[in-house]
Amino acid sequence: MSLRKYLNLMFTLSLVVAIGCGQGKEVVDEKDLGEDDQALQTAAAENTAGGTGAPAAAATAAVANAATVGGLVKFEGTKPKSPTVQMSADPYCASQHKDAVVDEEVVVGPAGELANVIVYVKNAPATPTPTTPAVLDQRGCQYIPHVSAVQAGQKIQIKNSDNTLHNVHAMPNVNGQFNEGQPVQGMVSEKKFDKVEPTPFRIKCDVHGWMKSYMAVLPSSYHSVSQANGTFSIGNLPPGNYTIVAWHEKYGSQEQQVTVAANEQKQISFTFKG
Amino acid sequence: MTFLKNFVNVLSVASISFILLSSVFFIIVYFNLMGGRLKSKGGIGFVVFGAILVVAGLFVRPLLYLGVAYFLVLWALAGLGGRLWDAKVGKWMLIFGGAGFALSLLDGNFFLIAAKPDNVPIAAMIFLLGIFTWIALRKAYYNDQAILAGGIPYEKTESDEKLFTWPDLVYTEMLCMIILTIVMIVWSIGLRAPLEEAANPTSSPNPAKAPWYFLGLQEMLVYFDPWLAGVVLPTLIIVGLMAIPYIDTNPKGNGYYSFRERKWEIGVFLYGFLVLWSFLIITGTFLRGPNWSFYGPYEFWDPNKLEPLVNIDLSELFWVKMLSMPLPKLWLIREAPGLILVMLYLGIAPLLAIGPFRRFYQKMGAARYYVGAYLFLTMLALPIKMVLRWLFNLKYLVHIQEIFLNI
Amino acid sequence: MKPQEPIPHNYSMRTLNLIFALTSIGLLAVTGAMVFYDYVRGWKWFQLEFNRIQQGRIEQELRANNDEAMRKQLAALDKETREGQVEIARHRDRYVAAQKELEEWEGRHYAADQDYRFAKALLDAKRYEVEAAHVQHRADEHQKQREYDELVARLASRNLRLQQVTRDRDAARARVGVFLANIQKVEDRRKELTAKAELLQKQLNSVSFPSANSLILNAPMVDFINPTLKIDQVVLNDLFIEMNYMAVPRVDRCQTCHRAIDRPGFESKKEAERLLTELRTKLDKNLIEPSRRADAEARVAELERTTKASQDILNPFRTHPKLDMFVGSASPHPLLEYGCTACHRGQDRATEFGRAGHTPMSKRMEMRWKKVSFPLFPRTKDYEQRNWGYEVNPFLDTPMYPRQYSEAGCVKCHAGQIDVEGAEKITKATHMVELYGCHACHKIDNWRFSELQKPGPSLEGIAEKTTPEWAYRWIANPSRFRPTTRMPSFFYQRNMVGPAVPPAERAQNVKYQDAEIHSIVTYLFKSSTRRAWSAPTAAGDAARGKELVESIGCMGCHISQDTIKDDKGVVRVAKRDDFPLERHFGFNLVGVGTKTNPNWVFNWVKNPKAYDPLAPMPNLRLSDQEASDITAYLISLQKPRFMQDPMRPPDPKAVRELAKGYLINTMTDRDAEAKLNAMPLRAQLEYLGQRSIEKYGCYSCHDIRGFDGLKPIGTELTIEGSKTLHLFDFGFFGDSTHTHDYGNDDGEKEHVLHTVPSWIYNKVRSPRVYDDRRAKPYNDKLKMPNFHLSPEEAQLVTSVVLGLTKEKVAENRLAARDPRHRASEEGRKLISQSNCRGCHVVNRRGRAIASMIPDPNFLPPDLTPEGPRAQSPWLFNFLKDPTVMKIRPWMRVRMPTFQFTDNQAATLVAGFAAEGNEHQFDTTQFLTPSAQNIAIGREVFTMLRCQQCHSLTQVDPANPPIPNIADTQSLAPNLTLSKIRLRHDWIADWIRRPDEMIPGTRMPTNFPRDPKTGGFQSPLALAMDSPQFAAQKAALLPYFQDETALKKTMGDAVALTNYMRDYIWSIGIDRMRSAGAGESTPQRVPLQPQPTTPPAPATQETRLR
Repeated sequence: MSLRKYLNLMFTLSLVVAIGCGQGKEVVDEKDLGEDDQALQTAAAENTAGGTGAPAAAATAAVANAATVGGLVKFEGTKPKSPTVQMSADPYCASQHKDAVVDEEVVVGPAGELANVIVYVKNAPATPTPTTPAVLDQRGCQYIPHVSAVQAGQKIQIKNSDNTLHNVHAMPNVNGQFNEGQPVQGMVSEKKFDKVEPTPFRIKCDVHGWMKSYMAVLPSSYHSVSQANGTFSIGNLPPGNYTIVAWHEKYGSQEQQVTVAANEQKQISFTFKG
Repeated sequence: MTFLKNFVNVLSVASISFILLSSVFFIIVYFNLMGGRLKSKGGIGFVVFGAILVVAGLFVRPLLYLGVAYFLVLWALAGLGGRLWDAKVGKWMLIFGGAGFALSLLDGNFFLIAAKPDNVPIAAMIFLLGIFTWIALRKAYYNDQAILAGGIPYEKTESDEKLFTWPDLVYTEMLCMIILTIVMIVWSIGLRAPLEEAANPTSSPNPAKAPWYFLGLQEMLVYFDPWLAGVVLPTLIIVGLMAIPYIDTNPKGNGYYSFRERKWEIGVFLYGFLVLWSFLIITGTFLRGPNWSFYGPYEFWDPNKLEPLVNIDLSELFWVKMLSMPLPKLWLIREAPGLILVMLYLGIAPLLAIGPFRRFYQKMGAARYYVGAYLFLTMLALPIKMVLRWLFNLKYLVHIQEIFLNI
Repeated sequence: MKPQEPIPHNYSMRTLNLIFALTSIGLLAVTGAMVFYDYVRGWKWFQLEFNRIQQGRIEQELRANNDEAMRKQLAALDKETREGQVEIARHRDRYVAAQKELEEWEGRHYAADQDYRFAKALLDAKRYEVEAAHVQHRADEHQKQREYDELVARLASRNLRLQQVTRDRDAARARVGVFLANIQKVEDRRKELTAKAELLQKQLNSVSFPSANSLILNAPMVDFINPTLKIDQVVLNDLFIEMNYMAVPRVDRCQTCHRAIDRPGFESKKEAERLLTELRTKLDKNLIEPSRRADAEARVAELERTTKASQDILNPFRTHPKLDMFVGSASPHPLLEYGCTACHRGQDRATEFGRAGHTPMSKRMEMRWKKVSFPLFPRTKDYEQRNWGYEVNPFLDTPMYPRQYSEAGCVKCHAGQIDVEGAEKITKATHMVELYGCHACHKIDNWRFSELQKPGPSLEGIAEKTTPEWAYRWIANPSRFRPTTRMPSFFYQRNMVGPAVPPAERAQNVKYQDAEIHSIVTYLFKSSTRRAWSAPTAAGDAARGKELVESIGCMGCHISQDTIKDDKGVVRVAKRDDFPLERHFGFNLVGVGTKTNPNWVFNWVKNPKAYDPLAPMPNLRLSDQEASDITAYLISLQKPRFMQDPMRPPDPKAVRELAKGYLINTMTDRDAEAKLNAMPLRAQLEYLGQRSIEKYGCYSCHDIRGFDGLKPIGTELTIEGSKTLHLFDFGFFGDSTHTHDYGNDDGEKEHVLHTVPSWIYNKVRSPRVYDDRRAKPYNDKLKMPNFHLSPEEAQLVTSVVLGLTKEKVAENRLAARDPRHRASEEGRKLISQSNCRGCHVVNRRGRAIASMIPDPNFLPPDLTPEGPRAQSPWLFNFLKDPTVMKIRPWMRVRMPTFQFTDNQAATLVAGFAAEGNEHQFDTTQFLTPSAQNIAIGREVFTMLRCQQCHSLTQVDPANPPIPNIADTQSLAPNLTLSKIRLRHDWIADWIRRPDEMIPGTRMPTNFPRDPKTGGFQSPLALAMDSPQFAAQKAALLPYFQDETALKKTMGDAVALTNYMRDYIWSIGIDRMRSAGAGESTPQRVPLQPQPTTPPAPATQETRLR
């Protein structure tokens, strides 16, 4: 009955492994942390909140002597001329913008800071699902934010702030896709993606062809999106070796290995070549 | 090794093995039973026959093999003479036979055939047949020696003593019964008593074989018209067997083994039973493969193997080949040569009656003599027909579709 | 008298006795062995083993069930009982009294009841006497009548008494009950609690072994009474098995060992994971109706347990992997009606591994099966290792299908269908057989493969489109010119020039083959028509042509590449199965420029039917300019290297010999010689050509002049699957001395098992393989051409052939045999013959073109819901002539004109309707909705802002304005075209659930389903009050008695959608151009009938001479 023995062995092994991983994080109260820890956390909270509207740190359990990985996403090469979006198809949209709207695909700052880059920890320990929902707003016939990352199972509120018809057509590959009309201004429909889908998928509006947004569904809340100034920051990270992935809708993804010590504030930077 | 296998394969071809077997039979009768000598006139005859075989072998390879085998046997048996019936010799023969069989089992193809559950009993039968015949003849030989020396057969010497039916007879019989039952059960379990799928007329296995005890008949079909081989001959066999006690009036050898005193009776029977009947069964069992074509014991049963079918009737042989003229329309004329031959063959009996067999005729009287003679002739018809087939590819002596009479 | 002196014994009695003793013991032993051998059966071991597994599970459950909480509760109950008893004890005397009284009453009741019964019995008996007396006019008739009446009276009184006594008895009971009430309640609660445990216990007793009753019931000699281990069987009265010319009902005993086949929870881990993902996605997309949701979730939990289980379940204990399709009681093929062997084949009644006809799927499997530690009694160890001591059984008529061919079993009943639901393999396989044209050479006499068009193009005009030089090289080696071609290689195959062929013969064969090819080419070009085709009218631009070819839909049926970049980014030669089958419908465009000439291409693309009235290629209504561009592009696709391949001139000697070989069949040698001497080489070639075309059967796939009405050359395959093993010629692969491995023509290793499936597989994989090591005369060698099938393709084809059996099933078991299904199947057949799936999705399959058109919004429509969607008259009209209505004028892809005959179009329309389970025609198109509905509809319409995408201005359907806005994406069909085109009910349904009808459609879901109830939600229910809708609200209120009613309606998706439908109905146009106008229908050249098309259409069609 060699087969049976073998399977038993496998099972016990996997158990051991599971337990081993389980010991990774132990939960502590907020107040037991040092000031700097708290400071760090709040910072991280702000940063990530800016990115996804999901304050990861707030959601996840605080971690003893947690580290932060922050940094800058830069763009090298001649910065591409972003085309202006032609909104004449829907007069309403046009009316929402005084000056011409530029396409958000590549947003590069004066010093070549690249915005809208999803940065996340690939092999991060699991974190509890955030209670605060991520928000995807449609304002002025544009998605805000343009790219975002959420955690699997996290609630997402899709909002239509425009007085026109939008239809949210999410086209994931792993999760089930949906296409919902939002004819009413201010109406919100709540969704969530249960399966992890790290390569971001497109969310589009069939009514307004120019409207698109990208969303990644990640296993943990250790993610962030670079802002206009190209900065990002992933906080509350337990010490260890990690692979940090940066993804841009046009320039694809990059990876970096980092090792963070206790309470360290690691600074790394990604560079995308145009 | 392969040469040896080839040698056996060739020897086992129906025609050759038949000639070999027959000659072995006569050799044994002459040298080992009748105490013949190579020096003697008869002995020379045997040598000459062998020589003819060898000479023919120079032109026809298989016959050479036959010749070699013939001389080996002749030399061995003639050399042994009466000693063939020594217990030791018998033991060694048995050992050699068994060893040969065992070694052959190492050959894949031989194993496939011999180890087939249906064939196992027949393989066993070969040995049993040999052993019992040997024992019987052995006793006969010693009795003959005794009688020649003016003594009395062994059985007579002990026939005065008396024994109880129980336990001496019945008890032992019962034991045999029990033991046989055990053997049977073990056997049937061991070989998974070979029942096959439900019979399916749409798909007949190739080769389609009769049960082993009928394989002799099936083999006869190769040489005879179904009507003869399937109906007439079997009937005659049964009738003949029933008739034996009435034909055989020889008072000698009652209650004791003897050959010299009943050479004709025993000789004819043994030849018919061993060489004609058993030989055919064995051929049909082991050597007939797909499409009923012939395969040596070490040959693979390849369904693609084909045998040339160029058999012709006597009429064609006579009219077309010899006289090179078209076949006569009228069947009576067309088949005349065949019919005449058959007539002649049947006519032999009366001729013999006045000729060499006068003694028999007088001793037995007309009725017995003719019945016996014709049974004997029919029996001989088989080997004759076989030889004719092998020599001239002869299909039928008489072939009258008009009245479905084929001989 | 003196004692007789003892007679000595011949044997020593002691030895005899000894022998006797020993042998009799022996006899006993072997008898025992016999019984044992008869008693110990493999299937018993399996049943025990399975019981063991179940036992484990049940015990686990019991343990889980009997947890702390449970124990606490039970304890509590015990306590209560005790209290109750104490309570009673307190009023002991009263209780006892009551009890006593009750007993008396019980006694009385019993007596009374009995009296009543007796009286009744007497009465009944008497009734008969009365009747008898009456009928026979007996004297005592009246007296009997009197007695009867008395009895009636008696019965009445007895009954009365009984009722009274009963009443009193019940009263007494009640009095006692007062005391026992509490205890009773407690007992009931206890029962509820322990119910589950008891059930489990029962199950446990039934499976636990060894247990007293199982040991006794299964003991040898006793086990005929009521054994717990017994053979399970289902009798299938209308699925027959062939037994000597007689179809007898099947008796499947498979579950005797395959215990859990119909029981969920015994899947292998792999299966469990697959099912889990499937079910989860179903739940996510809430495709499961709310009522079944709970079960589904339970199943998910169970599957999860299975995946986590410590040990994997092995066969024969596994659950059927497709319970929802087969065996499951809720599935379309429940075990009790279909059993197992109806699909899997095998010996239905057998209970032994080998006898049942299990067939290994590979060499490795066979090896494992054959293993056994001790052949007489396979031991437990063997079973656990799944070694069966298997030996090939050549006598079996219906061996099982090996696992990879399991779907072959579908054909028997589903041969009347194009798509077999849930059997993707066989569906693809049959499609492949149809496309590659196996049916053309091998007659397959069933609905699926009869009356199909010839797989190859007509060669009656070959001289018009190509040159002999090309034709020669093509025939010599088609796949060299187009690696993906469907045309098989006939020449220079392994049995002609393979390594096994001796060099001298090889050289000779090459000569012969050259000669044959030359002769075939000569004949084809001699017999070909030579019409002159006009040159392109405009100067073509290749670039534009390319762009056209890729955008207007050619790529639905064609490929234009012979290399492909695989996932590793390496460029390699393309294989057929790199592309969807549909795209092999037309030939691969690669090198077409080398093959043919501009004039022909130009006219062909403009109107294929002009060249060959039966050409499968439809008319794309190209303008002269477009046609010229495309021509330019196609001509630019060159393959110059191909034309440099050597073209050996025919060897006169070879030609002569071959020709003579044919001639002497009909004349003597001398006449043949004379005839040949009279013929010049060319004439000889022509003669030989004709004979060679007959020999290789070219005419069965291509139309060639002078071969009408010849029978196809291949073996008929109608019942090939039922042929028994010994009818297949394995050549030298059947024998024990040679290896059964071989390297096939494409260099892969293959193995020939001695089974029918393996024979067929290897035959289609490398058709000439069974000629290996055989020396045959040239013309006797195997002729089947090499399709260069990949292993997967070969398996698919094999599974079809295996499925073609003579096994009968009763009428009522045949799939899709009612008129509705027939109609839809006929439609599907035509769809498959016209390759609609190249561009459209038809019932969830097809749209091969998708890979060529990046944006899904520019793809041709999904026709899955076409039946319920389209009105038949419109559809008929549109099919005949797509130009009558441009639904999405901005599309580049064109619906081509197929020049369907009326019958064909009608067949399609009927087919779609039937498929959508709709009546072909309805009256709804004449409805005129009420003004109120229209008004409400309009408001809802505006609230949902539909007009943002849908135009509402009336247009000429034939050529509506192409909207010239920056991005045409934000557009949807003009709704004024709906009334004439769409079915009334469908519109509302579509607005409700677009994404469920056509997954991924751009039509947004406005009424999302509630994940819990699965019902529709309406966004307007709440939004009604928002200021932006103030106007609409004001407008709507008058139509409802009050605001609540309005709100209610606004929350009701069904009502809303119906209003909108009515509105849309009201704005629709109801007139459009009829088909056939304009030049879209071609002017037909006079034609004569042609055998391969379905008779009905063919009546109008005639053939070119």
